[in-house]
Amino acid sequence: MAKIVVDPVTRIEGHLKIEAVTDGGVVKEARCSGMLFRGLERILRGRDPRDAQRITQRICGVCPTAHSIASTLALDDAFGVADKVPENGRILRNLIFGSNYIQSHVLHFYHLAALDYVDVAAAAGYTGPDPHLKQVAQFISRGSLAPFFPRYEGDYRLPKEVNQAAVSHYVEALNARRDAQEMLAIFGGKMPHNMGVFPGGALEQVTVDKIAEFRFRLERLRTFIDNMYIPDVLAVAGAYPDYFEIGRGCQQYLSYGNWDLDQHPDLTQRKRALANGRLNGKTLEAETFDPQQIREQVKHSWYKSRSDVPPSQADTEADPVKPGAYSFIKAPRYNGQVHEVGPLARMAVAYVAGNAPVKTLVDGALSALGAEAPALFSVLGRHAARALETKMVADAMADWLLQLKPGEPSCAVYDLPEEGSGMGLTEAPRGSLGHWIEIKNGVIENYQAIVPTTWNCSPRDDNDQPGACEQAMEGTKVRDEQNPFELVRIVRSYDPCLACSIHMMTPKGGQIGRFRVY
Amino acid sequence: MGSRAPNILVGIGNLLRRDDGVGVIVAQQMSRLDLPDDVEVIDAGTAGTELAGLIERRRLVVVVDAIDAGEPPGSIFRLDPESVQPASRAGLSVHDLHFLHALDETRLLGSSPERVVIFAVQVADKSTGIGLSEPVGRAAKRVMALAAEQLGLSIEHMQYTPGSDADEPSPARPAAASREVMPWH
Repeated sequence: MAKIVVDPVTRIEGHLKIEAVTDGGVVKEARCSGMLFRGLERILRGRDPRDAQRITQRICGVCPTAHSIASTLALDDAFGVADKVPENGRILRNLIFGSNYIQSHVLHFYHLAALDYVDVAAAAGYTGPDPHLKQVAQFISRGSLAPFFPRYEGDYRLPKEVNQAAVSHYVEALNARRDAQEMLAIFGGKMPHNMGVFPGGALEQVTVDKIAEFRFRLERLRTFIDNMYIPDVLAVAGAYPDYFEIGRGCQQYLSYGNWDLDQHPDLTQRKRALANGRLNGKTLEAETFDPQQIREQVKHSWYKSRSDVPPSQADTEADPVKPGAYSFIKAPRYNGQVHEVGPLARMAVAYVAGNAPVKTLVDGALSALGAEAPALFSVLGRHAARALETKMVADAMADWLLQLKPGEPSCAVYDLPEEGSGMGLTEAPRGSLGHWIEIKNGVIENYQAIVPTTWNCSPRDDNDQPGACEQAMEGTKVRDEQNPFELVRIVRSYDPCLACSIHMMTPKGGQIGRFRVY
Repeated sequence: MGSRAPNILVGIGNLLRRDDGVGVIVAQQMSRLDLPDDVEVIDAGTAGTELAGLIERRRLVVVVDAIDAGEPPGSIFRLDPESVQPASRAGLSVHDLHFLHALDETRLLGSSPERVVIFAVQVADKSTGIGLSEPVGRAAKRVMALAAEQLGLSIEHMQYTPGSDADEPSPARPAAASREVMPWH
């Protein structure tokens, strides 16, 4: 028996520790521990409900937009305006959120995950014509390796030319992300922490100029997605086919649905471009989604709050010395079962439900890879699902943009109620995101958020069932325990986000005193 | 992007972790001033590498951030980028979202800003909550003056008077105040 500890897992958001007990190189038991205490919901108590949308965005610098959407959907519901959002408002929200999706998925593949498969050293000494590769070669020759290292060694398999192309695209992806951020700011006002998404609709007025500015960037991004992102994911898949077998996980998938196409007052009945649903990946049986089935369990989490309660009644009381606990992440369960959320869950739910654009994209990728659908329940399947979803969303955005009506209102006008409760369900780039709000005497009485990573990286639950990512690691053969590629590739395929951390500087060495100015 | 101001102030931090939000509060206060066209102010919140697009090719970038150096709370340090590292797992991650990574990114792209000045304030309280502790609230005002000097702002631009309490950075306050006015209102 041996123990592999990766602490922290790098190139993810926030602080995650994984511990795996191996026997003969095979993982017998894996534990994911979220090491950051949250409880930010408690800040919201007693505040003006409209602050929720602004404050919850500050939880995270990576998916602030998702929090703004979930929070706003909960407020729409609580204010009784869910069915009064004008068409422009609905579409602007989709466009703002879609910009963030593109940014987030491109970031995840190129700047976080690809370095597990692409060998940046392939650019060293490059003297050819590609300007991006020359930049990287110069950068490396100056001894600056900051974004690329540290990393594990020994399993980089891409042929040199493919490697070089991917490194060049790494640089191009930085430009693509910038385009996406600027695109978001056109209707969101600013990024990060947009000001545009607001209960009742969106705050920016639609003009022809703004549509044109948006379109220009969106078309550039669609070109990037079609010509670089998707081909690069397929190239990685071709060189690492064993990762169609690795990291299968719990094979239970959940999606709250995303991209509102109408304003049905009941979110679970709303028509969405990606419908909500639950899928058993082993039998391919699908069910409709019922939010009443969600419970949060804390037996193995550092909280003294009650266990197995619905999110709207949950609390966040920390207990860092609780026996048997090993994570600050709670264990959300649906109908008592462990579920995976994220792009793979969304695409699988949509595929089985017969969603036409999703079926076309997935079938196309499967035939390019010569793989069968069940192979997608894997590490590579998660990367492929993320890339295909990026294309689906970007293509849909091009249509939505043309449905905007310049000069017409974007936001409903309404009075604030003294009492109310609301639920906001959406899909962050990383998976299902829910916000729940209770309003009393005009202020927030209770607020709870269940974020995607609590589903994917949850610890064991009240019945000792391991979380989704823990299950994906258990049973995996680790070839080199000093370089546990398999484990970090599994974890990163979920795109975990445990942000909400502190972004503080520390001095190098102990000589801060000499820099004092006051 | 079209023409941009050559100088930018970037306030960084998590507003929800009390003193860690000092950079954000300073940026929000500065953005209310009558600024000249050559100065831009950004509340960057918890943004990291996406700041690259905002700082690239600027003549001057003034960063205001929190620091934990074990010094007396409210101490202010002027640093250059080479003398600091991200607090959590220095050098290990490309992506604990940090200004310094954004700077690395501009270096990779060959578009670094000409000059970067970092003002860092020693924190007292980084617990979950909104509002600065008293010493850091005072330091925020001084940092505004220091940043203004770097950015070449004259006294006319600084309509904000240190010591006036109408508009100053919020002191630490009980979490459950009702109908509280947020810094962005």
